[in-house]
Amino acid sequence: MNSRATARTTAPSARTSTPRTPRTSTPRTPRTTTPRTTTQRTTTQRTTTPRGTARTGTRSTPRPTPRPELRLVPGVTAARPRRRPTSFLRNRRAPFVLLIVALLIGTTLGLLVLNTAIAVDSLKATQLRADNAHRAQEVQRLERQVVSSNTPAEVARAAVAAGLVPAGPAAYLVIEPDGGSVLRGTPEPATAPGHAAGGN
Amino acid sequence: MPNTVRPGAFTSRRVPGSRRSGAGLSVDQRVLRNRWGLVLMITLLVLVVGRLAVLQGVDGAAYANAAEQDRLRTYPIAALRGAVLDRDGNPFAYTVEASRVVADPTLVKDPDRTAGALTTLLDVPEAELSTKLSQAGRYVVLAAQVSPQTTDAIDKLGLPGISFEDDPVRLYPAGTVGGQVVGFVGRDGAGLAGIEQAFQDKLAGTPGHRRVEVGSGGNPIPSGIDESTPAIDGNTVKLTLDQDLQYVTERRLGEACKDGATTRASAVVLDVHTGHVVAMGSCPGYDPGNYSKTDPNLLGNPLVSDVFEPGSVMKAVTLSAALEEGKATPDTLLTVNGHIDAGDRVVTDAHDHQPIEWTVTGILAHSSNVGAIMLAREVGNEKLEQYLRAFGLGSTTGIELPGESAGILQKSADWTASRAANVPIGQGVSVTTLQMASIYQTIANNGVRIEPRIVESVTAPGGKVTAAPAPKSTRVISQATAAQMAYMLEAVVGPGGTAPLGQIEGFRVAGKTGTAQRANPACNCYTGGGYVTTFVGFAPADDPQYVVAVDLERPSSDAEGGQVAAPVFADIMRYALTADGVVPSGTPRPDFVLAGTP
Repeated sequence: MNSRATARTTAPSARTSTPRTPRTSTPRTPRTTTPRTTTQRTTTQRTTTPRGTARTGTRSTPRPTPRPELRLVPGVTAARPRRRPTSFLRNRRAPFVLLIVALLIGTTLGLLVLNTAIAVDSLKATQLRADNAHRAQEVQRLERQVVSSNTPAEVARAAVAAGLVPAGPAAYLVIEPDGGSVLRGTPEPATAPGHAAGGN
Repeated sequence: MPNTVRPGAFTSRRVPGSRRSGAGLSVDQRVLRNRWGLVLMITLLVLVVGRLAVLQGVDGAAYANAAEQDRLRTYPIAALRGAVLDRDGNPFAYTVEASRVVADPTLVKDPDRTAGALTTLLDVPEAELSTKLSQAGRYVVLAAQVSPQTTDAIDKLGLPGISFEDDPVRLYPAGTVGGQVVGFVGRDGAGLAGIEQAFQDKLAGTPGHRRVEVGSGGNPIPSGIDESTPAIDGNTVKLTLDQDLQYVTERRLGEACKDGATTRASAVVLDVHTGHVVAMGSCPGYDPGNYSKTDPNLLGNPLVSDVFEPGSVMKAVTLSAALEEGKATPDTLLTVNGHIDAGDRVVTDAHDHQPIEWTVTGILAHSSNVGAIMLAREVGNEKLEQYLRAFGLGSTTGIELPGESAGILQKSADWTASRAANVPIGQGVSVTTLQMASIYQTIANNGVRIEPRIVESVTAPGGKVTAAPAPKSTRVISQATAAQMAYMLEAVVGPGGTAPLGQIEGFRVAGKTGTAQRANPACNCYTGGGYVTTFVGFAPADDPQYVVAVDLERPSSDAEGGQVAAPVFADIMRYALTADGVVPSGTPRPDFVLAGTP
């Protein structure tokens, strides 16, 4: 960023003289080394390395002034990157790419499996919920049956049908503190249902 | 293609001779034309891009939301209304799930065939279904409160355009038993009477809803949005009523109503020690499940809302006041004439007689109006009013039932001479059946009045039980006075009393009859109003457990309370004591001194 900003301030001379394409490259060059480097730069950029390496090279150069001599070795530096990429591509990058591809496929498959599992579970949950509701309804239906046949009126009707009669006065045997017992009330035998019906 | 055009210049596929091809135009004109073309293109581009920006950036959220709403369906989940139970947990009212069958006529493919398939299941005429299914609109209710079994059967048919909504149904399994107390709910599910109305907030619950993402067919997407706010069911209200006793009470009242003279028979049973209402009913009653077919005038609870002049049962208050104020004892002798002057009129006993020496017990046992008025005059109007109010007259009991009447009791300062003579014998003062029972509960409970209550507890759906707040209990008369009153009231049921028919084998019974002139609602006078005959009592007299108050409206008969109301009392009380396992009294009835030795 700094280099670009400085380049802009210095640009006016370059802008008027040169066409656009070089201008974009000029900012990277520091002001001080103007005459020599222009030719060098164009050659190195076009033929040899990606920008990154060029940048680091140019950045490191400006600080120590006696370096220009070392700068004359680009032929060697240009030769190096040519060999390296070919070896990397064939030997060391292939497993990485494969790994990425494998990860991608793995992730996709994993997602698919997870999604399927979720969908299956969701279906199962819906199914179970429906089953549950069914059971609840069944319970409710049975409870309803119990309740409706447990009302006093229904019990009375069933009792009469079974030949039962309402109880008469009950008698109680009350145990006294001394252990004896006392009969309270007068027990009366219930009238047989047939009699009651006849009487009525 | 024309070969006259310069390479790289504007070319046209049009015929070279035509003006629009630009063949005849100068370079400047062409430049101008190109420029306008460019402007036009840019304008169009700006319009399109602008519109896109508006759609995507400004209105985007709204459209996305609308799209989601289109996919989301919200189904209401109805809350189950809480049950109303008796004290043993038997339901008087409860709610079960049911459905409303609705149709979207635009989705129904063959209305006639669909109607034919549904008619027997829904029990709705085929023609009616057919017209409903072919009418305009997208929503039509075919049947309400359909059982789950039926909806399952309909579901299996797979008819398009038919769906179900929650529509719970309120059931009253006991029918008329307890109907007046429990009340009923309207079509919208809101309580309109009785406990259903008074406890609407507690019983209703809070409805929930379910939001589901659906596909084009309206079926839920399995992994889509499915969130539900569950409904919170209503609270269960447990009453103090005993369903069996309620049944017996109502059946006995039903018999009383069939005697040809009784137009209304009411009874209430109170637990002496708690003030709990154990049974409360009247005839004619109604079935809450069928309230719409009942005469609207019968859809109340006359035991708390209807007032009547109680007659002689009020003498218990007059005599309690006289005893408590030290104006008399049960054995105090009074010379009672057959009639007594009371302002502009003369009050007589039931049968006019020569002056007789009666004890206070005798006055109560013979239900002497003259004797009661003599004692009331000893007490004084102001004091008598105090006692009447302390026994709960003129104010509501605070029972958890809607529409309770306070009765009518004028201030003693406003009493005329005839009113002052009428109030001690239960005329010119109006009470509800419940208030009448409450007076005797006070005497039976050693003089401590407990306001009657009918709700025992409220249970939240989670099971948390909230007991009803304890009713107010106040001492009205001393324990000694209460014991003397119990003794004297026992004489009423004994030999020489007015209500030997109120006796129950094995048990000592204390009670009081009443036969009051009934105000004729037609003329607001006593003429043609007939009588209200009453009997209120408690048993066993030596260890009271229950109070039973009975009143019968008999507009066309002059039979007395001891003849018609006392037997009803005895039957209800007998069942209450037997069912509760109350051991018969071990002590014999005391010998009562009713009259002075001549």
